[in-house]
Amino acid sequence: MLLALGLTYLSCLAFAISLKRHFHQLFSSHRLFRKHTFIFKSLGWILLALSINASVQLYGFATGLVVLCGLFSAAAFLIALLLPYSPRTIIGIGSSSLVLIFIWFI
Amino acid sequence: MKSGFRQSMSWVHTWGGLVVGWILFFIFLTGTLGYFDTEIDRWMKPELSSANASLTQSLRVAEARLQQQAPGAKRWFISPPTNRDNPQLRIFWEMPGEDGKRGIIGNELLDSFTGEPVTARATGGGRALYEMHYALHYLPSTLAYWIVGICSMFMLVAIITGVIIHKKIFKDFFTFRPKKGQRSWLDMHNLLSVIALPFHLMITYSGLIFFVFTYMPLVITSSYGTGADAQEKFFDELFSETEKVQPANLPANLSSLSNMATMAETHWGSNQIRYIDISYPGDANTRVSIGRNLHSPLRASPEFIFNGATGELLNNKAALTSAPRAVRDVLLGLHEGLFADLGLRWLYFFSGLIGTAMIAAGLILWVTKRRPQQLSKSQGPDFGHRLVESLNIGMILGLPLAIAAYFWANRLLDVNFSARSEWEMHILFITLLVVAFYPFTRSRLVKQTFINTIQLSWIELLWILSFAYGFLPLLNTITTERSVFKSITTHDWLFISFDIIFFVTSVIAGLTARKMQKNLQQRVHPSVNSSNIKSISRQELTQ
Amino acid sequence: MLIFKINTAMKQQTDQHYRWKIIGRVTLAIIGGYILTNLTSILIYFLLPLPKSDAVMTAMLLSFSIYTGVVIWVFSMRSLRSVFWMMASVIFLMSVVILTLQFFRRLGI
Repeated sequence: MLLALGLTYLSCLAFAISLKRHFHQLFSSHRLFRKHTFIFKSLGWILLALSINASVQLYGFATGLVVLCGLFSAAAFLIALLLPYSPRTIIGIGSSSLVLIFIWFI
Repeated sequence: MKSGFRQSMSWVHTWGGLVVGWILFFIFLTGTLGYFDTEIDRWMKPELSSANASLTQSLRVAEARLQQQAPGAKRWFISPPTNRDNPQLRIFWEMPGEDGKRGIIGNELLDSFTGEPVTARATGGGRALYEMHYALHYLPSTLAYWIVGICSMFMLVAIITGVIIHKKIFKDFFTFRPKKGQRSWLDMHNLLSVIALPFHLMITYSGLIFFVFTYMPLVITSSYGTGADAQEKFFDELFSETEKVQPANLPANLSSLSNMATMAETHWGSNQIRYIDISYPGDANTRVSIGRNLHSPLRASPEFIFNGATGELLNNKAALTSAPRAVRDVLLGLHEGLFADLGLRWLYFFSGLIGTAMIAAGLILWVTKRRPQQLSKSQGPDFGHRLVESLNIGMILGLPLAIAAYFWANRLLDVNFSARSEWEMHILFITLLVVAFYPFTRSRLVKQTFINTIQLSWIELLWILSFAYGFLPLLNTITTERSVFKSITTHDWLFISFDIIFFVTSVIAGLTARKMQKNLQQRVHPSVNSSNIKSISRQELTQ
Repeated sequence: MLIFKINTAMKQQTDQHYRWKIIGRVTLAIIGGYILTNLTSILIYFLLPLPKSDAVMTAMLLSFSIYTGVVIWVFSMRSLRSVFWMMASVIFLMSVVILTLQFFRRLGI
């Protein structure tokens, strides 16, 4: 479940980064180009597909999808609430989930 | 209508949402708590132990008790401790009725070791909270179903119109800009609606489907006729109850339930038995149906059907019989979430809270948007606006406070008081009423401007809410054996979780109260800040 | 003074007019919508080539989507008059079709 949560979180994060306003909230020093938007959006979709896969493998098809909807809401809520208050935390959680996922795979 | 499609839809969304918003808040909050109704039941009956006997033992004592309480019954129903949603031994019986009417029914919660009814305090528990979300309270059930149904239909229209009017639904997906007044409330309302949109859509539509036979009866009458048994014929065909059990009126002993259960378990695995349904026990034609725990949103489970007298397996009934019925079962299953394990149940709970908060944000947005214009009126705000402001306080703060009062009453009312379960509910609704009239009463006692009354009411009630929930763990420790320390040392996760939730709620209420207080002071005295606040008199601040 | 009085009187009249329009739309959406939804569901039941209980269940499952669609349609049209007449004619036509279908069903065709 945590794996799926981590992946969903990263997926949401990627989507958020692809949006101009939030990109500036997170990385105020850089500039956003159209190709970056494309990269981040695709990354978001790929991560979402991976989290769907993880969830369905763990819980079966129907239940897996239900779990995923719940996880997605939770991840989106967390990111949306952290964006205006402390963008650094978002990056922090993102990097730690990335690390944890790598460890899980190895 | 209005000058454009979006504006018309906006009108429908705003006014349709407002009219039913408070009832929907009630439905959503009680329904969300309903995902943990069994847990709330256990919290409200702290005398219950969580230990359970084996399946064989449970079935044996259940059968003995049923034989004692309801011999010659039309139906016995056993829910053993292996039922994942309700891990306690429960029995239910229905006696034969006269002239087609339903006979006496009864149910008991049993100790699975001794078969004696459990002696715990009488309380509606979490179950009562959950039942309120579709049957309301104090109202005849059909009326309540219609009210809830109409509100749900308004909700469905509100969701669809909401999506229509939300122009930048993807661009603004994560947008939340705090401290910007009305804009922030709109952002929050949008955020909460969109991130859980599949959940909101599912819960509303499936909620309507629950009582579709009540809401759309004309379809049945035009196909099955208007006869008295038209509905029954339709149900029989839909749920494939083609062979109804008829009593042979010959006495016969009920074969071993444990043997039948074991046979089911060899196919399904252990701890999979959800219920055992016995028709005409003690008769030669008795049937025993054993149903399986739910593992997917499909609300129906396969059944093993036995001849109760001989123990012979008659039928292995599949869960799925027809596509439309499966669609209905999946929708209802998704709504109830009975198939969910603990992790998924928390996600359901969280999504439900998001829905509740969405409704609250919408109601608050409505008044915030209209306040500047209303406050500038010469006679003060209109009656309608004042009503909405009071109802907002009454429901958004009142219901959580009323639920806290319900829990307080559960701990404080004397255990031997016979009407205590009714009175727990009365106290819930009395609290709701008191909070709804709080702004009005306050304005009569303390002469202030309308807006000050409203804002101070919010602040004061939030502090009361914070205290009400914050004190609950302590109240629990004082009045029951399950103190905070004991729960931690015995790893009683249920009680620990409740204490944590109470604490978190208390903290959130308190922080909100403090923030509102600071905002109010800033607005009244913009020069006041934390450094000079002590030197300004209290009277000046509350002017 | 007289012009002022006439203007406020006119404004009150337009306010009243507006109110009745709203009441009309809401009534049409809720009650007219309910009738239209039921008729559409019954029609769906007649037209679906499924066993009886399945057809009825399918029609019922769809009914709330139909109702929502009708409500949105009622509020999206500019002229209340045209909504009323369109709804009335559709209800009339559907009733005729359904009665005909029921008649033929009873005859066993």
